[in-house]
This record gives sequence, C-alpha cells and structure tokens, in this order.
Amino acid sequence: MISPLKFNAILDPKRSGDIPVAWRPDGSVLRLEEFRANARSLAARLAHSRPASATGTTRWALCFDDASNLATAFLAVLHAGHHIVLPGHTRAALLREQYRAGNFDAVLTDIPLLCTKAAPDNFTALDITAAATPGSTGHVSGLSGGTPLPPTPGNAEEPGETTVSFFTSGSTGQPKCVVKTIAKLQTENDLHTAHWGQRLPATHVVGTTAHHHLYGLQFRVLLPLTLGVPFNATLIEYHEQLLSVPQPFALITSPAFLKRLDKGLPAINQCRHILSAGGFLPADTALCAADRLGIAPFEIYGSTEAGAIAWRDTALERRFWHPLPGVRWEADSDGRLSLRSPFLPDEAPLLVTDDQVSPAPDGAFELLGRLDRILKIEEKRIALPDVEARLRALEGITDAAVVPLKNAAGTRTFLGAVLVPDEAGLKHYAAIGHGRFLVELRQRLRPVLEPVAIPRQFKLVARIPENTQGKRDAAQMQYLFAPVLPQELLRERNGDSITLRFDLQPELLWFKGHFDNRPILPGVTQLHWAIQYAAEMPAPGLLFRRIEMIKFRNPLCPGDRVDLALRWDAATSLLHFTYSRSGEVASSGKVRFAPS
Amino acid sequence: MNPLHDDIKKLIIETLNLEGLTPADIETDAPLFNDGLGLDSIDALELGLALKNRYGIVLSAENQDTRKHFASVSALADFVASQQQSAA
Repeated sequence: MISPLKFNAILDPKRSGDIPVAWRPDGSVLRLEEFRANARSLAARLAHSRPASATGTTRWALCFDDASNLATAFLAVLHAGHHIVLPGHTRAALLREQYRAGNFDAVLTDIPLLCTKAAPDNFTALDITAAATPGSTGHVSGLSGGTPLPPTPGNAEEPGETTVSFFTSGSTGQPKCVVKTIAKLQTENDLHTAHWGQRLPATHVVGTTAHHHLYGLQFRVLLPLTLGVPFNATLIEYHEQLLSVPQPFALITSPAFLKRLDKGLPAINQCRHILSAGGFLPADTALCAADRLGIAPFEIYGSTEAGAIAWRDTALERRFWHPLPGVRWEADSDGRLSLRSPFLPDEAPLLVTDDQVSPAPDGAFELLGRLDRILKIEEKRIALPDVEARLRALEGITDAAVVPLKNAAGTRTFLGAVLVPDEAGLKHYAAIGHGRFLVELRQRLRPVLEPVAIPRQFKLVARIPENTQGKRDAAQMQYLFAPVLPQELLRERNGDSITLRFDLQPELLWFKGHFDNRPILPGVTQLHWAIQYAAEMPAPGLLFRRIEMIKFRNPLCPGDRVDLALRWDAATSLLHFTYSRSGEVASSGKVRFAPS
Repeated sequence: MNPLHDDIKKLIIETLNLEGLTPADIETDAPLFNDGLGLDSIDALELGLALKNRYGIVLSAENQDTRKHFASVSALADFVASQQQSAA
C-alpha cells in the first residue's frame, strides 16, 4: 500500500533533494532541491505581492508550456495562500476575454509572448522563468528570493481555502468554470494513488495530453509529484518520441494519440502502464496500442465537473465501465447518468450529467452517448453554439451554423460552416476566391477557438436552411457538404489511356434521393465523371458534342470499389469509357468530341 | 516551380479535408501551424502519417527537428528531398 504525499508536503525540506521531479527535453533532470528552491522563491514573491482583491488573495491564471514550471507555480500559489486558475489554453486573445470577464486577476507563465505591455484593460503576466525585475510586473512588486517558505493555510486534513478553477466549454457556448477546493483535488489524488500508484513507481511518467485541463494536471503532474516519480516537462507529440524517452515509462494519453500510432515503428517493450481518457477508445485502437506498446491501455471515463468516474482495462473489458471506489451512480428513465462522488463539492454532492448509460452486471454500466449539443472532437468538448457565435462575430458574416462532418474514411470528425455573408463579405469572397477565403476564415478564428473547432469547409448561403418548424435543419446542412467526386485510390495515365480506381463512399451527393431504398450511381453521373477525368487528353478546343453509344449492364452501389478505364482516340475524336467492378463490366460507352 | 511543393500541398489539402483549397492558396514559405493554415497537433500527426506513407520518410525522435521540418511546405519538401537522396 502506498501512502501518498499531501500536496503541501511535496516541498518538505526533510525530503531528499536528489529525488527526480522532471526531465527536460535536453535530457537534464530537475531534482527536488532545485525545484523546491524555485517554488519557495516564487511563493515568497507571491506572498509579498500586492493582492488583487480585498480578501487579500490573487487568482493566478497558470499558462505554461513546460509542465515542471506549471508544477512550480501550482505549489508556489498553494503555499502563498492564493488561488489557482487553469484557463484551459495559452491563447492571448482568449485570455484577454477571460480577464475582462473577471475569470482571474493575473497570469503566471513561462511564455514570453503572453508578457505584453500591461494596458488598463489587459492582464498582467509574470514570466516565472525570467529574472525578477521589481516594479516592472504590476501587481507583483517588491519581490525577492530567499524568504522562508510560508506555511500553507491549514493542515493536510483541512488544507484551507485555496481553490483551483478549471474552464471547459459549457452547453450554452460560454466557457464554464468548475471550481474545486484543494481538499477535493487531494481526495481525488489520494484515490488515484491507491488505485493506479502501484503501477507507477520506478517509472517515468510521459504525457501526450495538455496539462491545463484536469486529466493532464492530475495524471501528468500531481500524481507523479506525490508519488516521487519524475514526469516529462514537455508534451510528447509524435510516436517517434516515445522511442527516446527514459525507460521504463508510463504513458498518460488519449485516443487522439493512440489512434495515430505508426504501425511501421519498432514495438516498445518498456511501457509499464497506459492510461487513456478524454473520449472513447475504439477496440481496434486499444488492440493496436497493446501490440505496439506492449501493454493494453486502461481507460478512464470522467469529466472536469465530476473528476474520474469509472475505468476499464481494455485487455479484459470492452463494453462496461466500473465505477471508481466511492463513486455511486444512477440512471433516470431516459438513461441520464447522475453521480455522487467524494470528489464533488460538499454543498453539491449530486451531479446530473448529459451522458446516457444503461446498467450492466456488478454495478458497472455501459455508456450510450451524449444528450446535448456539445460535440467531442478528438477528446475536446466543442460547444457548437460557441463556434457559431464566433463566426457571427466576424466582419462580413451575418449568420452562421456549423455541422459535424466526417472525412471519406470516416475516421475523423470536423466542422463545416454554413455562412450567410453580407454585401461586403460576398464582394470579398468574389475577389479572393473560395480557398483564400477559407484560409482567412481559419486565421480569424484561430485566436478564439480550439484548433479542432475551427471549420475546415464552408458554404455561403442566402439563409440558414430550416425545417418546417423553423428549426435549423442539420441534415439539410450536411447535404450541402456532400462530396461530388468518389474517393480516388489510383490514377494512372499511359499516353491516350487513363485508368482509375475509386471507392463510392455512401455520402456521395449522387446517392441522395436517387432511389431512397436502393441507391445507385446515376448514369448521367457516370457519363459526367468519364468526361471530367478524361479532360486532359483531348486537344485544347475540343469539347463534348454527343453520346455515340452507352450501355448500362450492372448498377453501381454505395461502397463499391470501381475501376474506370478511359481511352482517347485522337483519329476519330472519340472517348471510350468502361466502368467495372471486380472485373465485371458495369457500364460502357463512346462519347464524341468536336471543336466548339 | 518545384513539383514536390505542389505534391505536398495537394497531400495537405486531401489529408486535412480542406475542401475548395487549391495548391496556389497555400503559400510555400508560410507557416503551416499557428498563423498560416492554422493546422493543429492532430493535423501534424495525420500529416506525418500521410508523408510517411507517400514518401517513406523517417521522422526524427527529436521534437525540435520535427517541428523544423513541418514549419512550411518548403521546409517539408527539403526534408522529403533530403531523405530521398540519402535513401538513393
């Protein structure tokens, strides 16, 4: 049984200064001695800074690239008796909005870019990695190192009033603030230590998920700190990087990363533990991860509000989730999940979620889906109303709606935007073209939206499609984005011949309404594609004149893999085409070209 | 014009579902991430896989190197070309 350290004992002077805390990208190790000195000196600076509020405390937004700097700031703020805010990102424009909304008082950071000149309506940021220059940092003045470490308010059983505020996207589209007391975070950390801790000693904790959300903070930073296990200061971004991390290691990750493991890289055998959270891990991804990394991932289901709720070992369990110790749950008649857990605030011990579940044997449950208009894209909760509000706020746009779309392989979800431009917007579009307009749109949204929330495709319309009840019609909007060309697998030109192979993805526009019960690829579409794909062969100036012959033998259906053979006969100005499927001809024809 | 630049731009458009974009819309020397096309870390992963499939390149285990190679279309093209040369 591991007895976990309390947060306020991490910097205890009695602990050996040799304990490794984190390792940096250059391979160097940050040890407790240096870490303790940094955190002490920062705590002293903060304790002596002019508080932002009448109650004598400051709410510090922690914006860090380096997880060891975040850990330093976290403990310094805790020891100084102030409050911690995790804005959930490090984007300056969005921070300014949150500052004006009163979400925090000042910023602690290691990102020099955030330390712009203080303006009356802008936040003050203190770069904790820069040398202290008294007087230049607004609220933080008269700072000096070497002051004794102030005690944390209260003791381990009653750690005082320090709170940690997290921001996630709420259902209204406004960022939602979830406030946790240090005591509640400590309770949860103790439970995780007991539940997962045995697997972590003598390893290195490696993370692929950002540390400014609850999951990353808890598992990449706080859990290693209290177990005395070193963590990586920077994020792992590519599978390749796992080949060079200190061994053995435990991986704190998410489906976004595991889905993109490279099967071509050598297998890893020094991975001792994999935790995945943030979204559902598909069975084949879990299997592939076990194969590549040598151990099956554990999955955690949870939320910022509730913390961790349930878990499963993907080696044993594919459908059902087991609640963590102390978590009690129930489902109403709609299957809506409600929770009681020791991590929830004492004054609000019941949390009603937007998740739908059904009961399973032994107190476990199966997750069925979400009940609201928040979409999970690559584990990020994206509130569609927020994205729409951001689009409407852009110059040249009067109304906007977004719909989720999938790539041709169906492996990735992204957003498509349906936009109503004003006169100036339309003129601008005509002047710069569709592609540049999309690039501009993305650039303008970048300062205020999560990257995965920025639309990748857009359509301009006179008004947003609505159904007969006057409600926005998502199905009709998705229709606007339906692909018009098949998924190309192969294209080869050989003199006057072109051969193509493609898949007819079911989303193709041409299948819609072309016989509801049994969709087939219309003959006119086949003719049109043949002419389109052959366009580079006839001499310039030759255009389609008429169909000489066309014969349909077998229908082409959604999901079919099709070969198209094109042959241009310059002597007769005839284009010959043949569509076939598994070697069997589906249709063939001859088309005459002539000078325009 | 470098045909590899055009190829990589087409690969980016196709892989990242940026429908309606043409190679001419992507500036060869502009940053792909952040300010330029505004691509994200998942795009980086997808693009990495697509480049490995198409060109058989090997990514470095060094984070900093990979970031440098993925900075722009021209940087990517130089990286692909250098790997193809050393493989030849």
